[in-house]
Amino acid sequence: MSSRLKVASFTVHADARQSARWKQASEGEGFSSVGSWLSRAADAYLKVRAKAGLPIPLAWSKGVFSVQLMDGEEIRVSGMVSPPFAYFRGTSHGTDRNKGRSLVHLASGRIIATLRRSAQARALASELAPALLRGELPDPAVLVERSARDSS
Amino acid sequence: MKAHYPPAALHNVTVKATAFQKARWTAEAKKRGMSGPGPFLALCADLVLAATDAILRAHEEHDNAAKGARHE
Repeated sequence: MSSRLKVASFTVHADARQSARWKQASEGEGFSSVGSWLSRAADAYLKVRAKAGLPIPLAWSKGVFSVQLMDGEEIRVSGMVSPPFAYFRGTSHGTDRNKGRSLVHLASGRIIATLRRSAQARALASELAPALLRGELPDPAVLVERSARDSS
Repeated sequence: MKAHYPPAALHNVTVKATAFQKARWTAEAKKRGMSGPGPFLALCADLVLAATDAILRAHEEHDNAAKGARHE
């Protein structure tokens, strides 16, 4: 049985100059269509941005997620989410509307840092995102395990 | 015509992408206040070409300078 990769199609509009340049570039680089060259160009651009280590602006939305507290208890909190990060009002002791914002790694529920303002939590996530894309951050699950082992 | 295209954008290019690529490009477009993945792809294409042109120009200038140095 053959499994075909599911693809989505959409249209990119271009003026005459763009169209001519893209066509020239795609032919020059041996692509079968301008569309496939555009796709490669977008991925190449994002890769370069990630490598450059520039803070990546993240899009945030409201959501509910799990957080692991200092005492090992896992609670569900509502806050702002931009995978792989989220933040909520509170600290590693629990939710608290008056005690800053805690940035969380969604996959592990681990609190990365507690900061005074939402903007600071967002800025830290933006700075961590390029390193995460490059695979330079240690696996947070390992850190959580190690921290739990050390404290027992 | 959606926002962020030049008024004379009359040519259409169909792009096929995986669900992951499309989601990623849509998110990137949203971060930049663009209307969808199309304008983001157009921006990327123009940026990649601008970077390529700049590299080729720098190479050319370097080669010309090296040739000039050899003739002296």
